[in-house]
Amino acid sequence: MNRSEIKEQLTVIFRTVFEDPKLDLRDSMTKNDIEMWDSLTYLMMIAAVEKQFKFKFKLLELGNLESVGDIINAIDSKISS
Amino acid sequence: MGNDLFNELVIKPVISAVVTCSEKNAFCIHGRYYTYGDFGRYISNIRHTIQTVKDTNSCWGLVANDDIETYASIFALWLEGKAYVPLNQNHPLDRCKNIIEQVEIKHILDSSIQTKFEQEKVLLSHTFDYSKTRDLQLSIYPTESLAYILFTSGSTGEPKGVTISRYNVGAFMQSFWLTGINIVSEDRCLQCFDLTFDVSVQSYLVALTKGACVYTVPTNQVKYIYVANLIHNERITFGAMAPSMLRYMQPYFDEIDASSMKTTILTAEACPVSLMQEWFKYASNTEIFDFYGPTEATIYCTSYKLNRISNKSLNGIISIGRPLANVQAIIVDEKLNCVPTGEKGELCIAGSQVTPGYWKNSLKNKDSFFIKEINGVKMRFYHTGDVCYCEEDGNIMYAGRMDYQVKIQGYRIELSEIEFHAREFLQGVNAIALAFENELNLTEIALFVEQEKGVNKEDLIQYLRDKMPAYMIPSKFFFLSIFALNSNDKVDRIQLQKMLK
Repeated sequence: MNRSEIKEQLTVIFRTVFEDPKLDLRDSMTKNDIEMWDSLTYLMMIAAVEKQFKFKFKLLELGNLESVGDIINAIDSKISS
Repeated sequence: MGNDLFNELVIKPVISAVVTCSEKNAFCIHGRYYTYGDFGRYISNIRHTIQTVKDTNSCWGLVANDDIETYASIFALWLEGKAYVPLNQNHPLDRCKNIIEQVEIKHILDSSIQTKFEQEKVLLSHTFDYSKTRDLQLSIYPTESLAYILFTSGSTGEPKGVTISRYNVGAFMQSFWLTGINIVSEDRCLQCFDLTFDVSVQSYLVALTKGACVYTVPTNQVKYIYVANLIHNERITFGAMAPSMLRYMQPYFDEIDASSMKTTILTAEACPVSLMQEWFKYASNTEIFDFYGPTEATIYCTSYKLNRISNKSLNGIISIGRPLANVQAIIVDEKLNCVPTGEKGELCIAGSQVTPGYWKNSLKNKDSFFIKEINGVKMRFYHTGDVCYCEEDGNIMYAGRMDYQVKIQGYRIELSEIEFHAREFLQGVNAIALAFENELNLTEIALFVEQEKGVNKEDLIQYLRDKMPAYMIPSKFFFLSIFALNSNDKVDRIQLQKMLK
């Protein structure tokens, strides 16, 4: 799976979890750009990503995921390892 | 020690730490350390600026940022006999403005680069000169003067201000140390609460009055991940947390080395037994205390120390324990008579930690407090609205709320405030807010609207966001043609609740 395919699947997850059907993801997007992004929705988004891509994040890895780009890169490295 | 517990247990110990352990770390903020010497420099220079401003109002606004200027501002204001009113700039500006108007705030200390508030009221603390330490001399102020005012959700749609005096804070500190919790200057203490929430006061005071180091959580971080990393990497030894935050961390417990934790305080929400048993496994050296208390009784008013084998609980919720030293607790029926041991009633609190009252709100003050004679002494009690009963051994068991208040992420929310704003938007169409537990056992809010079609959900959400903080915004919406009524002709909330299952 390449980066744009990951982004496509991540967009579906973000649109559902953050309840914004028109949301378009950009790599630079952070918590500040998505209104519904809080501790609870973040947890739900991570759970959905883990289910979709079939792996588990380590807690220390989650600490480094500040932007959409970080999340895509982390998924990329997880599924290709 | 005299009557001025605030000076003895708050101001003097912090100033003493600034002077005697100036090289030791006082704060770790965004990964940057500040020594007690640094902290003293910041306090004294902010104090200097406050001294130059003429203001007859003793209450100042303080923008609740996560930085050294903000924490120093609290002590600078206290050294000048003033109270702080925290303003969270991530909350809707309307809400902050309402608070500023209610308290008639004339000056606001703001460490932000650009302020969101009225320019002429704001003193930008990042622009002050912090090059040398100035006056940290102690002054004496009346103990009844205020230390802070915190605004909580109000059922009329307007937040209500709980005033807490220096006397209240001093009494709280005395009560806290009498629980047997011991903090030393080598401790590394967590401060993960917003400054608009009173557990923050405990979190910074307990550390700073013992010369220990406070580790804060930046506002732009996902809190539970940042806290877990702090515990693991910084070897945190003491921390107060809300059970819901620990629950977020639970799937990762086996990745966290929490063996450094000496004391864990669980507070702000009901404390589940199963979660505590799990935490005991991973935080192998910790003691756990369940602390209970409404903002009106200054942070905490009862405590229960858990043990590793078995604990008192009701419906899986740990006992809230016994009253703290400066607290008188009674459980009463509707006629305000004390109920026998084992019988349920409303928990009411008196003593030196109880607030002088709500800010300029005589109606609410009349409803919330009452005088009752206990053992020949007339005392002023606060209605907590919590249903409890007392066991033979004196431990109090929590059985739920009397009204429609809920707690989310530790914040106390009046569901009626959400309903109020929703009805305003809906121009009178009925709306009911209910709390429910999601699949992760975390509390969320659902809003039911009595109109099936024609309501723009996005516009409604946007309206609510403009009026209330993010934690008060419902996560689920139901649009129904009509609400079912119960036998008392009231909206049948139980039927609505069933739709959430």
